[in-house]
Parts: sequence; structure tokens; C-alpha cells
Amino acid sequence: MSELKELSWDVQETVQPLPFEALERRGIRRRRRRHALTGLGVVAAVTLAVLAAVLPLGNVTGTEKTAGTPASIPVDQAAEKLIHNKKSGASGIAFATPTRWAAGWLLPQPGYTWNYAAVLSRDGVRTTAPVRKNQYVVLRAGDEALALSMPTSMKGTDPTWAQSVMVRLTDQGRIEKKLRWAPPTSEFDDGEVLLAYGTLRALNLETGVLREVKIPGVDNAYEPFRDNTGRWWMVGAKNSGVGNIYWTDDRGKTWDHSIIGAGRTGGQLAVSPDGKTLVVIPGMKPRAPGKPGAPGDLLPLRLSTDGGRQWTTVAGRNAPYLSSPVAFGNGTGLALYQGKKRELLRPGAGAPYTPPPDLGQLSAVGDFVYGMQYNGNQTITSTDHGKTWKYFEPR
Amino acid sequence: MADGDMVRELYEGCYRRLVGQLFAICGNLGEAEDAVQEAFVQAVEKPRRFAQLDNPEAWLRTVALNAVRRRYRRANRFHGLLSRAGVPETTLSALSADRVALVEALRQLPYEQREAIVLHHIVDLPVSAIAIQLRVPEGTVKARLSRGRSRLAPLVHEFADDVEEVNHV
Repeated sequence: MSELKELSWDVQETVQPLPFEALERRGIRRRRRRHALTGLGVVAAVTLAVLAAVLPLGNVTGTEKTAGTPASIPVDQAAEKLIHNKKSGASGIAFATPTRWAAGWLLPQPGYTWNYAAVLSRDGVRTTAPVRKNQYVVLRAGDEALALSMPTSMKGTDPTWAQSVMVRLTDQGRIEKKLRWAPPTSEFDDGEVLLAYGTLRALNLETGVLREVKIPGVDNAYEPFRDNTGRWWMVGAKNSGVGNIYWTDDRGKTWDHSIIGAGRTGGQLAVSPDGKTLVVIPGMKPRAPGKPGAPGDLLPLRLSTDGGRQWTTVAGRNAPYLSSPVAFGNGTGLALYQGKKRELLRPGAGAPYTPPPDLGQLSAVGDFVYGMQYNGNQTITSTDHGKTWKYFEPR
Repeated sequence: MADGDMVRELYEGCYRRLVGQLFAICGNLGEAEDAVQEAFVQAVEKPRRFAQLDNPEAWLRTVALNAVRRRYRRANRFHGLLSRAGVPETTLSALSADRVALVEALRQLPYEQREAIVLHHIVDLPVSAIAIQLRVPEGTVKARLSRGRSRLAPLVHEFADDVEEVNHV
């Protein structure tokens, strides 16, 4: 006998087997558990099948349909594959409420191109937006978050309109619509949502019509926001760069404006839901021809608690590290400073907090604050005005 | 014969043998016993499937081998994270010094070589059966056997010839 067999034999001699009944009991317990789980699975599958039959849901682009129940939302395998690909990255997230959000995802393709998809979540119900070659913009419309893949340009002849799509997740279920072009307008309807993508655009959620909104004297628009009074706010700028706060109470018939910072470009604006608290970060001073830009320029962080009539400069930090203003209904706000010492500035509220080290930018819905990791795919949220934070991956 | 009786009979007949074989692979009696017990529990759990097998002992060995392999990979990852010291040593007090040296030598082999050596030289499986069981080509099994034998040659007399063959290649 070889040494190996002798070794095996020696070991056998030392083994004291457990009583077989002990193993038998373990096996029988497992068997019963498996049967119970199988039974539950069958019940769940039958329930789903019945619900799907009673509440049918198609998936035809361009036709509106209701899901009725989250269980009947079909799974888009291509979108799921992109969203769960290890190489995919989150491109942005928009919350409508703390439990309703939409997140865009992108996956690099050969030849420096990308494929895009999006995830929508509403009170625990989840769906996806189909894979497209044009980026998904995620935005808030009232109490729902939606995802849009827009055409490359707003010209009616642009062939990419055919691939454009809007995906919503309402209390009636998932709605997918192809976007439709309409001529530019200076006024918009009450049911339309404004979004800024270079130019200002109005989207009709019911029809999927997307049209450009022209404002006299404004070439570029940023961060449109509708407060609870129905007023639309935004930052508008000319091509020359100088930016102002613009607002309208009559759906674009008339616009008022106030200067953010004399002679400064662009700027960032946050408005509280009641429209009374405003936090503003003016843009940098324009670069002089032939001279380097203005990094290092001290930016004033400004707060207004009366709808923009009076302003207080609450802090100053050097550009371009001051960003992401947020405004709360209690007359306070937040802004992120990512200079040498990272700070979560709290205009109107007191001393700055130290933000999470990977917090890249901030937004808010009411008192719910959120942002994306600058070096990862996690969303970072806070329900106590930035004191504590939680992470989750919006897949 | 009832399904339960068949498993019981196999338990009485094969348990020790399977533990001895598995011990040669993992070098740890507790692990070997756990793996073989897991195989028998699965047999009790799915009695009908087990009753239809042509070679129940081979099935039990495969299930136990899979359990050992899973545990080996987990342990490797865990110990790799903590240190580069590898899996901790375990010996059996009842073994002679020669046997302990052989267990240590087996443990120094890459896991795949150890598996092939045990299946061929302890379980007496032919190369073709090992290839099927491990889902690798026969050539791969032969290479693993050859390398494993050459490293065990100082402790296993029947492998001494292999060293000479390897040296000639």
C-alpha cells in the first residue's frame, strides 16, 4: 500500500462518526424549509401572473399606459445590464421626495462613445428607462422624478428626435413616451415643466412635447425651479456671460430680474419651496483678454429671506471651490466649499459643518439634501440639514 | 429499500473512507468531517434524487469536495487579507511523524494538484474520470499529477520514478 493510502487509512481509523440520526434531522429540516420556500414562490408567481393578467401593461413607446401595480412593470434586460455593469457610472440623480428619485447611468463604449440608461424609483417601486445613445437628464416635476433622453439639438429636423424618450413613474405606473418637437415659444403652459440644458426648454408631461422657451435678453438658462406659489425662478445669462436671477409669475409672459453680482458671469441660485429664502453664489469675474482667469477670486455667499428684496453676504470663499447652494424654508441654507479646508457652509444657521469627504455637489428637495460622490456612484443624503449623511447606490 | 435506509447504509459503509480521502486534501479532520457530513445531509434532503444515482459514493465525494473547495477559497481570501501566512496548520495527534510530514507536503501543493493526487492515488480514479469530475481536460489532470508527484517524491516511494522522468524532460 502506498504512503498516501496508508495516510488515508490511518485517518479513517481515528474517525468517530456522528450518529446518523443527527445528520438525518438536519437534512429533514432543510427539506421542509425548501418545500416551504418553494410553496411561497409558487404562491408569489401565481399572484404576479393573476395581477399581470388583470392589469395588463404593454411597453410600446409613444403610447401611454398604466401599470396599476409595481409587480407588472416589465424588466428591460438591456437597461438592467447597463445599470448593473461594473464599468457603468452614475451621471446624476434628482429627487422629487425622499422616496422618489431618478438616476442616470452611462457605460463607456468603444470609440469614446457612451450608452445611457436610467433608474426611476417611486416609494419602493422601481423601473428603468431604455438604453439610448443620448444622455439621460433626470429632473423633478412636482412630486415625481422623471428621466429624459433628449435629441442632440432642438432643431425639428434633427433625426435624433426618433430616439428621444421620456420615462415617468407615476401612481398609475410607468409611462414611456417619445418626445415630440414643437416650435420655440416665449410662453409656456401651466402643465409644462421647465428644464435648462443650455437653452431653456418646456416639457409637457402629458403629451411629451418638448419646445424651446425664448426669453428676451437671455441666451443661456440654468437651474429653473418652481416654488410653491407657482413662480418659476432661474439664472439667466447672456452669451457675454453676465448672469442675473430671473423669475416669472405668469408662465413666461413677463419676466423680472435682479442682478446676482455686478459684472459677474453665470452664478448659482437656490430657492426654498416657499420662495422666500434664496441662497446665491455669483459667478467669477470675466477674464480679461490675454490674462488668466479668476480662480482665487473671492466669491460672496449671499442669503435673502424675503424673496430676493434684501441680501446679506454671509461668507466669502475663493472661486471656483464654492458651489451648490441650497435653501431651506426656515431662512437658512447650505453651500459646499471644497477648497483647502472642506466646509459645508450654513448661511443663516451658524458655524460650518465638515461635509463627507467625497461629497461632490448638493441639491435639495424641501429639507431633504442630497448629492453625488465625486469619485463614485453613491448618492449621499441628509435629512437634518447636513449634520449627518447616508449613502446608497441608486441602481 | 427505503431511501432513508439507503443513505444510512452508505453512511455506515462510506463515511470513514470519505473522511480519510477528504483529509488528504484539506489536511484538517474537522473540515473533512464537516464536508462529508454536508454531503450526507444533502443526500437526506433530496432522497429521491439520491436514490436515482448510479454511483452514490461518487456523488457524496463530489459534494464533499465542492464543500472543501469552497471553504479553501474562502479561507485563502481571508488569510490573504490578514497576512501572507496562508492557511493555519492543523495536524492529527494520532498520526506518526512520517504521516504528519506527508500531510504537510500535501498541503504545500497547489490545491488542484492535491485534488488530482488524492483522486488518482487514494480514490483510485482513472485520469479520464478525474477529468470529468473536475471538468478539466485529461491533459491538465496528467500535468497536475506529474507535478504533484514530483514534489511528493521524497516522501512517497512510488513517486520516485516520476522525478527522474521529469528531470529527463
